[in-house]
Amino acid sequence: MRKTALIGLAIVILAGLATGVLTAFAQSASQPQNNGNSSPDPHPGYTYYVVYDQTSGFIVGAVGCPPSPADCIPVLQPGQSVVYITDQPTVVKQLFADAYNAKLGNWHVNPQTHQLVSTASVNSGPVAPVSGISLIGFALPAFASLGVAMSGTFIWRRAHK
Amino acid sequence: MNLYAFLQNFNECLGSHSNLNTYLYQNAGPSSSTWVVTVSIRLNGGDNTQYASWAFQLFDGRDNGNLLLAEYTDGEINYIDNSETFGSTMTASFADPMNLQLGIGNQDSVSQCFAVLVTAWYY
Repeated sequence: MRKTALIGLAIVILAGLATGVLTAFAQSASQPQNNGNSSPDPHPGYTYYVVYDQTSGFIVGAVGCPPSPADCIPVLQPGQSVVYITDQPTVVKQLFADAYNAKLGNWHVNPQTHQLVSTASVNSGPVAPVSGISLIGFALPAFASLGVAMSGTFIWRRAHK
Repeated sequence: MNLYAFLQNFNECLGSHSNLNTYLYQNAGPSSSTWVVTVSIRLNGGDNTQYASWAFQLFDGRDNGNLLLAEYTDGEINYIDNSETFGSTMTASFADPMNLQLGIGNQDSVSQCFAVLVTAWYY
């Protein structure tokens, strides 16, 4: 009887793991895709910056500039400013992934702090990875399944004492 | 003939109803040279149907330059296909170093990225 319970427990855990993996891959596949470039940003050696309206924080444009001899000096109109984001590869990655999918409007610059903010995210700033297996997608179902299975075993053992 | 830049790939993404101007090269190379600059532009992701305009301009003169020597421009273009590439080769003689400015206009209600390639020689 104990052997049967252990086998059942293993099946439940494996099912939970499989669900987690499938969920994570489904989430990964639904992420924005880069339709144009051969490899996603940031490209090594590139300089990245964003030109924005100082009053509203609206992003006029985002530029990825190749290494020297290119210069990529922005020509700012009155009321515009520029913020360089080369040293923020996570920001570059997510901002350009959105931009390639016509979703640059998901971003703006906070006029007070001059920080880029993603309005599509619950948290301000792009902190979530663009792709990969997430903790919520993989580990949570697995641990939940483990918890359910262990509770079931505990109840079964109590009932058969 | 000296190769200055070979197929340099610039990513330019514009917000909705926006215009963006950038000096791709500034005070480039030696004075008293003739430059041959090949440029191309295409949509990069986003819509297949796009209102967009652009202007590649070669300026002579130091400190950004102000003398327009050559230009490749296209005004309002509708329904650009994602696989379509537009380009031209500009040739001009400079007294001072070369300046190449790119201006892009996105007249669409959503943002749009553009891939820009530049190759430049001088002699």
